[in-house]
Amino acid sequence: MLVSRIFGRTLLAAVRSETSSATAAAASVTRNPLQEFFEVDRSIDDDKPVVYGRSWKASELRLKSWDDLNKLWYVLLKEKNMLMTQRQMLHSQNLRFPNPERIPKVRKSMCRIKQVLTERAIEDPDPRRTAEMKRMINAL
Amino acid sequence: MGSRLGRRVISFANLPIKLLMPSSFNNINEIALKTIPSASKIEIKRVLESLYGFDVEKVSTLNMEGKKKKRGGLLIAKPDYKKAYVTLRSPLSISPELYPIRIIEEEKQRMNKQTKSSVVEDGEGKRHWLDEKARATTEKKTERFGNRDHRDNRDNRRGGVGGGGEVAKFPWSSMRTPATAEKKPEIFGKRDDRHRDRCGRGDVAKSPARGLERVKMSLVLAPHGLKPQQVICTSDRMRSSGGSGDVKFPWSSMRSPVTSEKKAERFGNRDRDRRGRGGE
Repeated sequence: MLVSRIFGRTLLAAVRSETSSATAAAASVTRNPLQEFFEVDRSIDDDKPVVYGRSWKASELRLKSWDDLNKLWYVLLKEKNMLMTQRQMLHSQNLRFPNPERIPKVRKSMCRIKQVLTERAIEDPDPRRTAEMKRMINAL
Repeated sequence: MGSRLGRRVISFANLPIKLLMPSSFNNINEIALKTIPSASKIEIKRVLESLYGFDVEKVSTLNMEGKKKKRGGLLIAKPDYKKAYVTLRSPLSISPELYPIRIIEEEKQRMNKQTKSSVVEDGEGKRHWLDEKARATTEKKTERFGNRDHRDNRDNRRGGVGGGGEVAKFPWSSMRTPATAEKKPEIFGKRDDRHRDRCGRGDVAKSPARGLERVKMSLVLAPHGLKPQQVICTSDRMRSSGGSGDVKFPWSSMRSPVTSEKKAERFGNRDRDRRGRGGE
């Protein structure tokens, strides 16, 4: 559990999604896609402070493969959308958005993913594959 | 690899999507989101289908400018955004127990409650407009008989109607706030109409401000010539003016505090004063 406190909240989700992707098909049938815009298992009562980890470090990201980083990217993107949705909803009622520093953490982790992938693409000896990878990385 | 000319494959989609609060929690057929202005409908549809798993029927978009505030020479602008309305093929529902929804609902209800008056009036508790109407009709009936000639009674009653005849609960009970002032003419209005009809004047404008003490209208009074004065319309002694000869305006039968005060001072000289003023 110490591991979960250190790493970003999305680490656990990524690990879960990689290992149990086969069995997750049955479990996700009843999941409401609207719920992905809201935070999982966070109750209204304010007793316990919300635990969230820190952002991903570049050194940790370099250990991952391309596909892992791809999946992690989308996990982080959903997290960022969820946080921004929460912030927008609270601000529309003039309430305070607690822990706003989570959004830059997610954003910087996504930036580091792209940085790590670009580093790998530069070191590739084949120039065509380099260009290809760069195009894939920076395309939007 | 990924270099198809017809359809680009995007491996790292980066679309910020903020969901707006849905209108209801069950049977959601259409959801609203905010994105960056450079997102296209097709892209939004693809992202929602592939990443989130919505079954999207239609996406309609519009570009909106962020709100701008100008302070002095400085312009503070919120970023422009694109609103997208996404219709779903099958209705969804969401439980309000997820995190920020309950708080927002509570806040909305609190805001709705705060729009009522912040001054607590006498006799205010849980009221319904039908109760008030019933009270007004019963008051009308009791006042019709026996109280016409006693002006003092009417004055006292006007002071006491605000409390409904009860003991004043608050030190500010005798104050007229806009809330109480607006309620009064409903009660007085019906009485005035009947009196006026008896006097033969049915054409006075039935403005809601007639019974108010505080609302000021500038009226030209017939006996005063062309001097516009700030008068306050009072509802008492209306019937005493029936039959005056020098009436030029439809509101001449109304008593302003100017005329009514003078009457109070010289109680016996009413007719002489008016005739005298008519000659000025």
